[in-house]
Amino acid sequence: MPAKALTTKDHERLYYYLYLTRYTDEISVKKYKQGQLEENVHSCMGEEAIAIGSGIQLRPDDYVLPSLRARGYFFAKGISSREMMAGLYGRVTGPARGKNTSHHMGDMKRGVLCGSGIVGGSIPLAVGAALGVKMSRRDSVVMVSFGDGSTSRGDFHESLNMAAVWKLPVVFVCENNGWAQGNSALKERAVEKISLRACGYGMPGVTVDGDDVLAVYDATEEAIARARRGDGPTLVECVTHRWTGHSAKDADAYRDRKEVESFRQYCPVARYQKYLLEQKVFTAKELAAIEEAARREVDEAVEFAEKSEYPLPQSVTSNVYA
Amino acid sequence: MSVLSVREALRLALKEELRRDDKVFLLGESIADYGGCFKITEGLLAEFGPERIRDTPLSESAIVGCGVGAAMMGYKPVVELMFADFVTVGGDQLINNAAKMRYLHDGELEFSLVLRMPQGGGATLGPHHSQCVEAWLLNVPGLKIVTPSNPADAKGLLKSAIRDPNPVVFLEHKLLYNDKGEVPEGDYTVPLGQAQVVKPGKDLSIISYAYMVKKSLAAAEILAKNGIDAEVVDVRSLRPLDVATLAESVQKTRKAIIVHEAPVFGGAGAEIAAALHKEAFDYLDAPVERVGALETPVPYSSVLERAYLPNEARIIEAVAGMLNQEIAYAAAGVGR
Repeated sequence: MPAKALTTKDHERLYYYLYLTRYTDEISVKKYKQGQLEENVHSCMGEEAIAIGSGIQLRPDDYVLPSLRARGYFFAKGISSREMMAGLYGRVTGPARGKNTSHHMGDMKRGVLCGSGIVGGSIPLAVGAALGVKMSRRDSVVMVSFGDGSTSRGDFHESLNMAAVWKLPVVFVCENNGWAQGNSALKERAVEKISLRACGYGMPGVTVDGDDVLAVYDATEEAIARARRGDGPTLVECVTHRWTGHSAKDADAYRDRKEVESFRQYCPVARYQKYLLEQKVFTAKELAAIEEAARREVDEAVEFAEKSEYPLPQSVTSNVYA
Repeated sequence: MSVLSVREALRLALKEELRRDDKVFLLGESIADYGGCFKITEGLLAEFGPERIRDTPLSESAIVGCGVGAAMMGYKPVVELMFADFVTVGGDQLINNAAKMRYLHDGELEFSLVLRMPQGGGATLGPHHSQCVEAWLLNVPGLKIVTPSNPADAKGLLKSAIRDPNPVVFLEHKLLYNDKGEVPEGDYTVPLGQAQVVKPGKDLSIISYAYMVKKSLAAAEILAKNGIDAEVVDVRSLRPLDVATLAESVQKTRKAIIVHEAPVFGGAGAEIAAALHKEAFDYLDAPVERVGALETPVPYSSVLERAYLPNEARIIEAVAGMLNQEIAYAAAGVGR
């Protein structure tokens, strides 16, 4: 159903996950800088609407391969804050039990596929997963997200081509924040709109405002429906803004301070908040309550993670081979 | 027993496994109507259809990655790369994804994948269609690597590889495809991880694999005429490596020469030699020797290629050096 037809319950869920993603990000960056968690956090601050707006529509039998930064997909697929935090902290209570960083940890039960830490390397996996879905005659979809830098990779090209030739149920979500680590878009490509590339593969491509969670919702809803009914893949480009450096280790000195500060005006959380208040879906008090619940969930998750055991050293050699 | 070529044995293995398990399917370039570059998959399309004998676009990275993704969905893809040299293109998906998938899910994953590719020189195909790649992949925990030298092992190892719940790199040698040999009837499998003594002997162990087994056996015949009784061991499985069988041979013969087609430096022979020095040090009369190709790319022109590749003469020269004795052999009749 289009975003216009969302119920109050749907909006509550969307806002909760949006805020949860934001707050998780703030806390994990803080904890990293305090030396309390080891994983180099790749903040998604400013970009939360993409993963949540698209991911929230995925069914339990759908699959997702989150990009490096798109933490929201884990929540959308039912991974709890506790598990997310335990994953960040490298504890045995996380989905990968310490063997993988949280960026690409997998949980097959909930349809989260383990992705590759090689930028762009997850995209062919989505093609294979979608082929498996198609061969088993299911109507599940595979959503794979990746940044604009990834679209310079050969794997992006090969995967979109293959998915289009075979008409696979893939939704390709490009999070275009205009930066590939230290490279601005000007250094990365000669086209402005990445969605233009879709026609080169014979699939539809669309560019939407990635900071508008409902616009993301609508665009990806159509892509999901296309995939589900067997009409093949779509490239959905969501234009957004990266508020922080590439990772917590990045001082971000190569970007203009004023420009980066100005990104706050696009804040997806604030924008959705404004919409919900203006449309009288919720009152300010109700929104505050949702935010408070999300903060409680994350704070409790941090406590849980910090108290969780590390994996035993001898488990380092387990599960290399079956 | 039937007499089959390696090609026929591989095709039969694929056919039997495709019939046995619905989840098995093939992915590769031109494997359907075309029947594959080396015609291994010829005829399979008619029986199994285009979904299970699936032609892919020319995209080695996505082909391997697609195999990985499908394997994560519980399918058992047998991916064909046209030439082993192209593994560099699919290498990221093989090394960074396939090899690590089970570990990164901490075991919460069914994952079965075979990557088959023809390797080797001697067909004047030039530098990018003649390489042996096993050493490039040997250092990757999570992969299994096997390489048959004859039709029976081709069939038996491929069936085992397809049934193995791990990613298995199956290295075929293009010069072996026409070689015929006896293949047991029925559901014949050869376990992964097992070497085999193909010619017993007592004076030295020639440890080899793939096409070089043939060369080693030919060299052993010449050595026999010179009163030297060589034992030839076919490694078959490079990872996991059957060190026990190799060490047992060397403990008996007290001398070992490893022969592989890939260049010597950093080749699989280095791993085998290190293992033998560890397991059979007290038995060895001499350090383990290695024979392999020259430290160059594979040249095209036949005169250069012949100079590059190991052959019976080079094996015999290594034996002569090790035994410190003259060995007579006719230079003619030794070569490709």
